[in-house]
Amino acid sequence: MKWMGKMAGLPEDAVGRIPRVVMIGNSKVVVYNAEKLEQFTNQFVRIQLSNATLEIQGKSLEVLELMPAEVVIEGEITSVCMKEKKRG
Amino acid sequence: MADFFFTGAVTVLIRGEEAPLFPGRLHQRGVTLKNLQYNRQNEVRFCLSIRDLGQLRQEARHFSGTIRFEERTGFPFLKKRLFQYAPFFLASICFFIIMILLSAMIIRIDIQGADAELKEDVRVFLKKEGIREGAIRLNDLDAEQISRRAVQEIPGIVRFTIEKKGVVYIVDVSAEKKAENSLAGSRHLKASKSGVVHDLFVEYGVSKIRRGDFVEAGSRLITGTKKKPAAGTVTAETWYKATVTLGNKSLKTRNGEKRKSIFFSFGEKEFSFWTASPFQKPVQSEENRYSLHFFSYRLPVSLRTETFYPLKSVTTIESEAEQEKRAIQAAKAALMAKLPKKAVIIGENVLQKRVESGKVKVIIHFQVLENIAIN
Repeated sequence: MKWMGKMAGLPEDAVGRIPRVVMIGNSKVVVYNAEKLEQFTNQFVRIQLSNATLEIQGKSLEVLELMPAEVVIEGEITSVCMKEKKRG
Repeated sequence: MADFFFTGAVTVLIRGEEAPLFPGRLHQRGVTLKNLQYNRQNEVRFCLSIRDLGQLRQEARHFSGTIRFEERTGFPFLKKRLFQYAPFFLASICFFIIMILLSAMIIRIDIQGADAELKEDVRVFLKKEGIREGAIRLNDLDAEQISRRAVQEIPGIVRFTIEKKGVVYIVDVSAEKKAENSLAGSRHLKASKSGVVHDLFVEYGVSKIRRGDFVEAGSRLITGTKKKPAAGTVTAETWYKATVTLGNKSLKTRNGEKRKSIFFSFGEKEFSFWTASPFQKPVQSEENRYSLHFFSYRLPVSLRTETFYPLKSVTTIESEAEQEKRAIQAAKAALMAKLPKKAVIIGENVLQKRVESGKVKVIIHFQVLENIAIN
């Protein structure tokens, strides 16, 4: 998949379900192609991506929209941390 | 952007140990959620489309905590509530319709500047025009045309203005000035016109004439005394001569066909709702404007119709007898307008009839019974 996209000259995130995280200031995080919202409280959100987990910490977090391919999180975000999933 | 308005949405409150995990499970089933909030310990609130309620139910089977529905929003619930309030809405719509109808109703007609007799005439005329108390008139008043017709049709009227003030029509009338009785001090009754006395009624005084007498204009009819002036009526047969010239010009009539254009106007703008295709023949057009009022406030919606009637020229040739009849009728109508109310036309004779290059000239003699006694 990856090399096909490269051959065609497409940006990397346009091919396949590659997760993409967009941050707007420290108030909004948009995650595309998230697999699962694992855990959700107002201080901690853990989102499972295809081969990693994304942990967002902050205050008074809210998930504005939770759609199959898109998660919009709003609140005072203090840290966004991506951890690679252990294989096997 | 998922919009829940049309599908309808429910706010769900989840409480329990696994509450932070619950939205994630729903998400994996492909459910769209909105406005997730984590309130207190293990309490999550979110918005869910009612389409996905089945998924929620299935997920709830494996959930140990409590699930509660809080708020229903969106169109389906709104519709339901609307139906609940249907009687109220119906009543308010009825109120508006009734108010609009009542605002279009003529409640009162004030006639100013006329005596009782003339007032009655004006009232009869207005009734013929469709203006009477209790009538609902949606079309706008064409004051100019009505006043023009009024001056023509009501005898003894010089000026006629009609004005609409809300539900009250104010008619201002100026009557012709009657000949002042300058000889008010006269004790005797005199003849205003020459004629043959037909009937007399003497209230006070001594009559100088008898039935069947011919009296000249200005001759004395009844004598009175200084203390008590003469009073009474003398009905006499008087004569009038009228000359009528009728041209046998080609008459034009409507042929029964008509086409209507309808325009809606909203505020200043006008939209055509239906435009009639034009006629080839010469046409006569009529315009009508209908507007709605709410109390005295004019609603911005109004309707205008334009009706076109094609004209066809009538080429029927009138016989001389028909022309004569028409001439007599025209002369009679003209005379009736001039005569006082109580006068009666008792006979008419055609004195002379001449046809000149298609035009008919008729001289008609009328016999009229009227009161000729004046002070």
